[in-house]
Amino acid sequence: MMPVEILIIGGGPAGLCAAIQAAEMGSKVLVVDRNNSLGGQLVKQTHMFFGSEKQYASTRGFDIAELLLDKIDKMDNVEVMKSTTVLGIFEDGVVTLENNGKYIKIKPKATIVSTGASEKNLAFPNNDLPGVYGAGAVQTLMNEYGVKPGNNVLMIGAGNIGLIVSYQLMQAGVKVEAIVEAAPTIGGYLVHASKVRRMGVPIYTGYSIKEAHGKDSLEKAIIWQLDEKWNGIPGTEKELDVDVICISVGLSPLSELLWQAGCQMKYIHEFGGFVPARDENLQTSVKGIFVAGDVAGVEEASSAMVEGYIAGMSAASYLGYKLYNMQEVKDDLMQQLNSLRHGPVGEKIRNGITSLMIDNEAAASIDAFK
Amino acid sequence: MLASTGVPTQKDLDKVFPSDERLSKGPTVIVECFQNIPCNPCYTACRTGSIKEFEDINDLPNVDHDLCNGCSLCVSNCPGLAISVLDMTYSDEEALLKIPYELIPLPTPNQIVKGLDREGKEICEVRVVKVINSKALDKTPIISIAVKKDFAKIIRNIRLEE
Amino acid sequence: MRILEHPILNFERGKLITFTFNDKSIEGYEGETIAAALHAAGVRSLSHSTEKHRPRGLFCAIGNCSSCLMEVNGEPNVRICVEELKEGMVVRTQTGKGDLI
Repeated sequence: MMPVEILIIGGGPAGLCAAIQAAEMGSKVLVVDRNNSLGGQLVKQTHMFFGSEKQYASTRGFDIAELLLDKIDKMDNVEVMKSTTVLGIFEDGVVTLENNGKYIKIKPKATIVSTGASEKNLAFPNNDLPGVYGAGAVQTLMNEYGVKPGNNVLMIGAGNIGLIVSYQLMQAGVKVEAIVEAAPTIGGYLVHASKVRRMGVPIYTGYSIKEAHGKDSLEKAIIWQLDEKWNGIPGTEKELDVDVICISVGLSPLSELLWQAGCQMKYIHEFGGFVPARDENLQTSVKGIFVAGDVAGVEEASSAMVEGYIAGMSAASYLGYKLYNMQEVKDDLMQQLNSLRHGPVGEKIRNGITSLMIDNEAAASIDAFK
Repeated sequence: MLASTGVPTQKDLDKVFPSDERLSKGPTVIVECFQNIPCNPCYTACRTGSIKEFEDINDLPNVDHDLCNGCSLCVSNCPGLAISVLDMTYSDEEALLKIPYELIPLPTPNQIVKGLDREGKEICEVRVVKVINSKALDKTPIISIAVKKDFAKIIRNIRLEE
Repeated sequence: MRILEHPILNFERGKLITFTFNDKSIEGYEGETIAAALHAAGVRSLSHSTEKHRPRGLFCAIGNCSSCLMEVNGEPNVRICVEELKEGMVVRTQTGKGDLI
């Protein structure tokens, strides 16, 4: 069995920052990712990030991935296993992996789960037609492989992802016919909305998709207005000739491994589904298992990165590694996280966090901050 | 209403536009940021002290138009592409508007293109004066367009002829 | 369907290689996924639901949803959205759930 100090599952923004922080404190880190390259969804983000300088604000997502990967490359105590899927976390602490048909068992002393989230689907007639994509799939095709998903798009959902992907589609030369949003107001940042509006893309709030049509693949979409109970209003239908429907109605945490590990889970609507209870050091109810990023609650990548640093620090300190100014660094990270969540758009996040906080028995194992 | 349409209303715009008196004195930024989101690169980019330090990162930008000289450093640093620079003193009839533009192909100087309003509607023809796409702008080029003064506050985007 | 010019991104594509899809020869780039190459060639219907045989396309593109399972080099149930394209690969649409042996 391979001895491992800190195992990090998922090398997206949270996992990479966790690796950097834990390795900086001297621990040996193994980052495992099922993809053949690290960076997670950062590599598909062509827009400049929000936040402050500390979270690389006004730098584009894929450039941030490169900055983080450069740091990891220079660290001797970070090992990376790509194209490797974690299959299970077992009660005796053994974690099993699959790499290229090979089955591997490891026993990490601490684990950081940063597996991210996956796209939610939406129920409507013919939603299974080819041409109906999750927004992430469109980003992958378009921004990673340089392939257009189609020519005319209906975007469902005006959250940040829906708005950003609409903008990216236009940049790739694809026409966005409309964005529909079931809620009465736009969920994403209004600056993103204004950006696509002044390119001539209509945003229909209080609208949703009624049905999709097509024989072998999508040919047409019908949208309609919703009443105050979110039911479609007959007679308000609009027909759109689209060959792509892009669904961006939110993400849900990829938390299977945490369930299996026996972590206490809670359903938090604001966070997209079941998420782990945790203490402020991001340790779950299971001693030695930490979380960071979307798997701990769907949020922005900026906060995922800060959470990554915190989880990395907590895991390293759990194993006895220290920094001379650890409290200072931790305070700064906590302050960054608080300020990112402080405004009105962070209200949902703050509410979610409050109901998730546990006074962890396991947390007593981290004495370094006291 | 902005939150349901994505288009700022005249009332919204009135809050961020400097006075006509200030506009008559030379170029200055128009920061169309109306929502408290965690973001402050406009402040960190500003070298003239006209965009004040944020007490809370979720604050709206606080702009002192009297200190702003329209240098445009903040324009390509704003992740929301919410900042433009307007110079009403450009000529007798025309104002000069600098906007961020992240599409291809880029226009070329002297090209006549369509001027679009904040809903993407074609309003009038505008003339491209300058296109800056230096490395420092990091792929957010700044396009300067000459706009008839009557339309200067309405135009916010351009469309090239297909 | 390929994006040739992009205002922000430069696509560094690998070597142009050929593979077969349902006995038809198709070109794609080394390093991209089978799904990306098929998409670029205009193939959008990737599999069929097992009971009602409704066409299925790409949905998640990150190996989660299993809506793109195909037979690759004789092996069934390959998630072509995460499987890297290689020269000479034999890719086929799959009927049913796929037999292992």
